[in-house]
Amino acid sequence: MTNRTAAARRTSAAPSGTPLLGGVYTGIEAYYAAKLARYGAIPPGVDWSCEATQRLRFVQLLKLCAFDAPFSLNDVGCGYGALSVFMAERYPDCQVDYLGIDIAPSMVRRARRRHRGEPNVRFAVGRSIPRQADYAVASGIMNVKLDQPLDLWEFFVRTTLVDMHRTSRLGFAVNFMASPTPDAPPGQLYCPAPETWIRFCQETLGCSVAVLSDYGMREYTLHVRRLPPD
Amino acid sequence: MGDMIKDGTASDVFHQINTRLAPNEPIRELVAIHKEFDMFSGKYSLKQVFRVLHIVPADHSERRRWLRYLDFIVGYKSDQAGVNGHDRIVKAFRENLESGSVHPMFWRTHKAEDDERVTVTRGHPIPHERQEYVIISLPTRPAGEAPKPTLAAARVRRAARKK
Repeated sequence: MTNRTAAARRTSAAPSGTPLLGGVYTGIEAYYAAKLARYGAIPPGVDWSCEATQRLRFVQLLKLCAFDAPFSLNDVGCGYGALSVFMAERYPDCQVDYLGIDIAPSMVRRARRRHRGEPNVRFAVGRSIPRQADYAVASGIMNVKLDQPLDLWEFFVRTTLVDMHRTSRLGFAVNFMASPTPDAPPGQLYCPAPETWIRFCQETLGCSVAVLSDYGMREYTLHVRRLPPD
Repeated sequence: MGDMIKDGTASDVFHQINTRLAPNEPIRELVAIHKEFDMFSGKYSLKQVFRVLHIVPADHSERRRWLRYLDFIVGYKSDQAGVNGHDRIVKAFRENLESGSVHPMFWRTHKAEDDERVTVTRGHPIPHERQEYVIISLPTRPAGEAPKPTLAAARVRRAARKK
């Protein structure tokens, strides 16, 4: 076993259901369930300002995927399933086996209702990813730290990245905020320097990382790809 | 505008619009959105654009009236011959967002009795800022002062809907 693999296994030894993260998950679930209850199944219901910016983020995340052949995708923190709708509109000819996973049962209920009768679109409630797929994406799930201590939140981020890596055959994509929005309460948003998680993905997960940052928003997207075997 | 949406609604949506079109990050975000989705290419109406940008009144009861107002601008004249007010606004967005030096944009109103047209100019709408803006100005009248035929037509439309 290489040092890198061992490190990855040590990190993943703390499963997403660990009691340490119980309060984090409960906080996330309560936060997004309240957003959904207030705004409904529209972008503000998953804490995005509008459909245009939500879709601009999807564009960046999906640049990871090769749409010239069918593939499977895990959408972590899927909300009400907006990504699935976007893919169907933008890539109507590509067959995607989509699984959306969300902590909040109310989100998944909405998503299932919206996508009833679509055999390639499924949803699951959960704190970890229940299946292997070609790719995984996560949009905005690391941003809202609320009142969690920084080290605990970074443990949550690490756990999530390890889970995405563990369940992705080809790679995964995730976005982070580069700087807080002016209207955000101080300390509630998580805005790490890109190097923090680039290094983690390279050194601990043993992947190659590409950074997309020049797309007009105060954030960046990491494309994390598995390296071909030696 | 005065008869079509409440004064408070106008203040609310204009504030939202001007926040999203402000200098630096906000206008850069709109450039990126337009570049990716051809937002102001002419294939989408202002109503569609403002919906996907979620620039709508906080007051839910006013949303439909605001979106109807955006369609209503088609009936306005503009400062360009042969171009209606709606298309003039879309064109102003497109030209600015696709230009080499993008300016922040600012929406405001002016008295229709002074100029019935939608106008697009360059200027400094915020006195303490040196930054030049593209200013879109919409003609408006206080509530109750719309030309009589318009009010009468609105009454007829409402009556027809009730039937």
